[in-house]
Amino acid sequence: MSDALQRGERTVTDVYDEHARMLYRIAFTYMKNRHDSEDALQECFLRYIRGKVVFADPQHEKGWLIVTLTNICRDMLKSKYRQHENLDNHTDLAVPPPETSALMEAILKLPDRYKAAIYLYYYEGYSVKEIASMLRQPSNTVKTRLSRARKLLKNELGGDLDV
Amino acid sequence: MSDRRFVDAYNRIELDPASADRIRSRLEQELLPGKENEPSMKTRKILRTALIAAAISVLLITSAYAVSGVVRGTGTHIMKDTGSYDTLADLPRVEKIAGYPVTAPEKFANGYGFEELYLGGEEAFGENFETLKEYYSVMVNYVRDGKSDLTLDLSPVLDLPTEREAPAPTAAKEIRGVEVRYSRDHYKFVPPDYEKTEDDLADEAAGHYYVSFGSDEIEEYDFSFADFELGDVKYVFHDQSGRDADFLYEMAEEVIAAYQAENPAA
Repeated sequence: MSDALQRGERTVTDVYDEHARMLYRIAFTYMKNRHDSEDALQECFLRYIRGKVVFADPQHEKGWLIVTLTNICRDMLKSKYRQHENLDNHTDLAVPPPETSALMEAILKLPDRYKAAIYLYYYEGYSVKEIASMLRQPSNTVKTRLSRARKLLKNELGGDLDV
Repeated sequence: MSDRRFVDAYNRIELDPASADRIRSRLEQELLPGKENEPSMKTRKILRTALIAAAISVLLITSAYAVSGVVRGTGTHIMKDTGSYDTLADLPRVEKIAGYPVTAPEKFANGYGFEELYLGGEEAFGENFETLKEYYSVMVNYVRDGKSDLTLDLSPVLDLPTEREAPAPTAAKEIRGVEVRYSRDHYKFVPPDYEKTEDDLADEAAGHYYVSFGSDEIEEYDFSFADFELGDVKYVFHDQSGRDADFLYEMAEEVIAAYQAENPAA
């Protein structure tokens, strides 16, 4: 097996098995359909393989994967739309798939820049500081985005959401 | 602490096991010995300008192999203040963040017009994958008649040695005192079980021909490039429609003329 498979103590496929589901869920919040989400996931790991980046720690690696994935999703979305389309409001991309709940439908409608932080905070349970470190963003940026996302979710859900 | 409601909502979004296996197999194939220098790209029509241009750029640089202290490859790098801009009115801000001047016409004589600009982070890494240099790259998308198939990429000239040079250009022309290099690469996207023909092998040896494994069917595309340097900045036109040298030379001339008008001493 090629040496390229090894990343420290783990193989590339170990990393894939660990993070694929997480990355797929994040991709889904951008792409809103299985097919494109799977494409984005695959491309993310192909870049992981080709880029051969050395990571300081597992959190750095996870953050790199998330940022790379979101960049891929945005690039894929850019290719789908004409010049005047607002990428943050592509709510017409698809009919909500059957697996989505009311909360997920609301999350899908959020501007893209809030989605990674929302996932990491509410699903993974990371702190603002940890999210800021992972995504290489200032803590205040993360706080602001979470705050705005919460307001949008509350509005969308008719005030039922209390977070 | 995670929120149960969000956990339940996200848990409904599940990666299909068969798809997960298919992707894993694709990754394992990418990692086969000898594959690390082969290009591999998606062929789905939705992957356009930014994705393909980025992949080709990585391919051209990562074909260099490692000697201590030299660039082994470049890749995406997390940096602050990256993002998209939908107007060139933001160019001063982009230039301030990037740290170098950006010459990007609003519209070219051939009808291509500005669509969007993306400011991204990149790094050049050495043989142990250590970061040698991190820098900002600027990718400007252009569109004509609704077709977004042309980008103008900018990055600082890397004053770092590479062991292996990029493939020699197909042609070159001096325009207003600046050398503009043109290349056209042919990509053949093939299924995983495809066997290269004698013609494939001969064309690969000749250069500017790449067989890329992983697509569902055989598809072939031409991509053309024109690159030049203005000051300490490298400019590269990426044309997904594979047009000829004169087409890109004319666009390069407009960029060079605009740059020289802003920098008379250049």
